[in-house]
Amino acid sequence: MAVQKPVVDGDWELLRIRLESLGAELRTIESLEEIRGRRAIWDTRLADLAIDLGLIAAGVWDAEVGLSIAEFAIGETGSVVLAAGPESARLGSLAPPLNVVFVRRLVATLEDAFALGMPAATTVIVTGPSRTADIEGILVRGVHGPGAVWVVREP
Amino acid sequence: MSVPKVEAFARALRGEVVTSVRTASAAKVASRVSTLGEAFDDIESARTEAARIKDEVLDRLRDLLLEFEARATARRIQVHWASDAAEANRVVLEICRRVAEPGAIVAKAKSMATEEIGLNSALEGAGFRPIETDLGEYVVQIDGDHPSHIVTPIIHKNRVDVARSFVREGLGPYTEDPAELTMQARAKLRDVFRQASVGVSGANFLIAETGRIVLVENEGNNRFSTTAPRVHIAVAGIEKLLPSERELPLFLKLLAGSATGQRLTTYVHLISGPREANDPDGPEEVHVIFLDNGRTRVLEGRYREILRCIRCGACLNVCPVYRQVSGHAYRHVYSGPIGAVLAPALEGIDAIGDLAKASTLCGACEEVCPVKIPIPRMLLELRDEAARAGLGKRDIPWKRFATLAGSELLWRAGLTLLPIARKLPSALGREWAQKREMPMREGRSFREWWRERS
Ligand code: SF4
Repeated sequence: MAVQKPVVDGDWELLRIRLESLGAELRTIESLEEIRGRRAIWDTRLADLAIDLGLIAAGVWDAEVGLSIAEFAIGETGSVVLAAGPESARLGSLAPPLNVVFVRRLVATLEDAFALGMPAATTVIVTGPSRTADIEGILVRGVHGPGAVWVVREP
Repeated sequence: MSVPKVEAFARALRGEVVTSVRTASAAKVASRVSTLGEAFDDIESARTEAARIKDEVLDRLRDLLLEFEARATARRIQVHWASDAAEANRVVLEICRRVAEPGAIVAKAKSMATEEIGLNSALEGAGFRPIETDLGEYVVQIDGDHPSHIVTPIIHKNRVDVARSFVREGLGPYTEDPAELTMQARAKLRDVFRQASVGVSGANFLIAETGRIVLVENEGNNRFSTTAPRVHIAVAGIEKLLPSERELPLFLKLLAGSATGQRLTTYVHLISGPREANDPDGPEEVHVIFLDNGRTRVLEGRYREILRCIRCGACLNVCPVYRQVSGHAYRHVYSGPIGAVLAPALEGIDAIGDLAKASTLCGACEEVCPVKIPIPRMLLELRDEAARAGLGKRDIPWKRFATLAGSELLWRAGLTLLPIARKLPSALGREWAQKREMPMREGRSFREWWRERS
């Protein structure tokens, strides 16, 4: 059997650049003041933060913001990896117009991500905002999923 | 053999269509080159490796199908086997009748396999309401039209066409702004996702080792269709397998780069089965329907490599014939160079399109194909077969063809009648089947095995 290459950590600056070119953003936790008081749906592990930000609990279809926790992010592609589980609704990262994603670990490449192992639960690798170019090849963001994606580095 | 005049057809197309197809194709070709160049140190070896893996899948198909079935079943994914379109449709209808009320909405995610089997008309015939949720496919559906590209279905329409259709359907006030038009569709299709009882998708990859379904997309309609309704059904050609998830990075990067010039598609969905007991949402049932519909026959014949195809559409974008005549001219759900081979390979030589014969054989399709399918060689062989079967002697009625393909309604009627027409020269088809040599690795046993399965 081939020797497994060690998983390489990613570069946060590259992640920032990639996210920007996708129309997403790397955000600081302080900047979340902008969503204070909004109708939101969150991963239950983020309950304290939701209270701090005065978020109003909403259903999947009514929330303005969805707050998610990523397993890890991928620098090369500007992606976040989200796994389904009892803590978070799958549609919570899809239906609201803004998805805020908390990330602690960053790997370098897509190959590193698969070498590290994709979660066993249903998983989605999200690379930027929902988009289409169906009408005359013109890029439009937010067609069905969120038009805005903010990635927040967890301390 | 007479070489038909493609120009005659091109002249019959609206000027705007030709322009928009050309512009969009050129843009996609340019972004493909730059993205793949960045993603791989050596694109050549990446393509060679992808072709090798796909060939290995085709060689070991039976084992991989069984492995997938075992793993998926352990995940509570229900696996079905359909030897043809009618069987696949029947399985879908049985599930729908069991879990949904008559008249229920079925959310459709973009899928070539369900186009291939004509699922929408089967669902409508049974009293269900299938609604396409990919923006382009939605426009195609409300217009009673047909997709003209396997990745970008309304490449033949412009914003004015879409605006008129949306006003007609009551989606909102007239606007020619693509962003506003997109938001009108978003609002309309949200209700579809909320109300749908069943979601039907295709599958980009099925992983034998883990039993997972992999779907890629940019819009999010695929995620909605496979997550919000109570039941998710994936219809997939048997060639969609990959041995393990280790191969995924290579294929995901090749597919995204070749199809749309992206590093990675916006959403890569790895579906592990129905929701767990404590999950707040997700489908209660997940089904996979394996579709043969001519594939085991292709596997045994000389067009075997066409089953490597990952439906990226790159061969369409670079093809000078496709760019000139657009997808409708191929008169089949699979258009462009891939369609020119896949249609007759799946359905028999009498399904050979006029454009298989019209190809310039410039080789551009093979050069861009991420899995290195020798399309020009296959087109030559098809021409040869058609000539031997006497099909080449027939004069191609270009004038009638141009009118037919130029009109959406006529085109649709033609497509509906086509399967019947194909059945007519059955003696020819048999002769053709007898002529083919059988350089099979799994040989006839695979077919027999398949017949027993389904
Ligand atoms: S034949 Fe090759 S280039 Fe054409 S759609 Fe299939 S994989 Fe893509």
